[in-house]
Amino acid sequence: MPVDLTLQAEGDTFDAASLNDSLGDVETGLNALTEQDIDEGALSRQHLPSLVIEVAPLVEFVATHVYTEADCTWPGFNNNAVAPGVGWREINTTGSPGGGTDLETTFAVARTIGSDNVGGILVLADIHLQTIRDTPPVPGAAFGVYACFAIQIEHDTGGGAAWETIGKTERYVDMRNVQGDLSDEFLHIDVPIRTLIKAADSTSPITKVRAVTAIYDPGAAGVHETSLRHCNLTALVLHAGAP
Amino acid sequence: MTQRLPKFRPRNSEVVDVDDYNRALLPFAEEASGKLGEHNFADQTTAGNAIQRGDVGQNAGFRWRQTEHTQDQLTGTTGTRFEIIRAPYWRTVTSATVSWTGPAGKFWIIASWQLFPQTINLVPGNGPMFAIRVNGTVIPESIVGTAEMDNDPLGGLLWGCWPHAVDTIVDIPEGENTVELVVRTMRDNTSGIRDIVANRELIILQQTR
Repeated sequence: MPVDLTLQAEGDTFDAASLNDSLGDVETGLNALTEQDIDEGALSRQHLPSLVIEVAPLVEFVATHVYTEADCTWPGFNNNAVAPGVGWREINTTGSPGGGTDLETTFAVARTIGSDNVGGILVLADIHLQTIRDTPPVPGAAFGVYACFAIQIEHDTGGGAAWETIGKTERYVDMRNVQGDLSDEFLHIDVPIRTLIKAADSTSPITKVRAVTAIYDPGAAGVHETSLRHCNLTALVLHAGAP
Repeated sequence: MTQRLPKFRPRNSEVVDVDDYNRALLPFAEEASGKLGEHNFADQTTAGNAIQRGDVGQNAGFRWRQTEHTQDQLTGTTGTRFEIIRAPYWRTVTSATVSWTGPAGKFWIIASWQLFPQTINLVPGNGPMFAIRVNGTVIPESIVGTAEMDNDPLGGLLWGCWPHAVDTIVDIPEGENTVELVVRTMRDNTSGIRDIVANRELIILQQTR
């Protein structure tokens, strides 16, 4: 709280009581300092050792994992449907069958944006896309097929924890990246996704963040698959405020 | 505030002037009201007196600014596409600009976007290049495509539907500031179908600690 100091004026009684009044004003104010009393930039590493409240454990794996069109057909934009079938498949070390280690990180406690100084959650993900191809490989058959990726958060909006797709994070790569002989369509593309999850995205307790994938086939013949390899994901719970 | 010492210390038998007395207290009263600085707080090594994260405001770590554009690119039913004009000058990507007036500081700027060609584009020089521009100055290390404007006629991202992300940390002065995601091509070519930028996000984190 601001210090509301009572100043002494000429002619005022200057005695123990008036002295104590002024000193008491300063004492009261100093003993009830608020967050707003701290000047911006006042705190250093010694006061606030980290700029982030929590770094969710980095999840990372390097192994080829394959996803099939039949298992995870793109469910449409900003859609929460999950595989198998039409829906997003969590990226994991075993690919379409699932059950391996997911590209998913869990917070130590549920984080609610706007509470406890949590201003947002910065998500950083990189996914190494190796191939988009027909199964079995046929030259050119995967032309126009898209590998799709997105970030999802697990939050509880009142009906229990559920995964929700963050629409702005949907990313796509298509087979037009490579020309020529498509029998061995090694793309080797990094799919980087960076996003700030903020109150407009969720004000419910967020427990997990993950990356998902799907395949969009607007009409190419055959059954397609994608293979991924080196993936990593982390999420930083920012001690931050909006402007 | 800086460490303060009383300007006025009464001595025995001295007549105390009320103005001196007021001047002795005013600096504490004024600076404790929103101007407390690093000297005024015990550090984390001082047992029992350390500031806890809950003791400080949200802006004690970062102040964030952000803009985004969400678009259904694959079926094209929602959102407005940003079309890339093929011209050799930097142009702002719509909905990827943040402006503000504020104090100086160190800023972590992150841009993440989806490039989507509407046709196969293999003409050298037609591919787009992207960069972060701060107050009118393109940050060289943030350029995606090529930074060799004079020597690389093939510059630009030619091949297909492809997401990108760049980030940079810069010192920005106080006052009015503008950060943008910008795009250009090597060649001036108005023919053909233009590439587009779909989903995009520009995140600006000001370190306030």
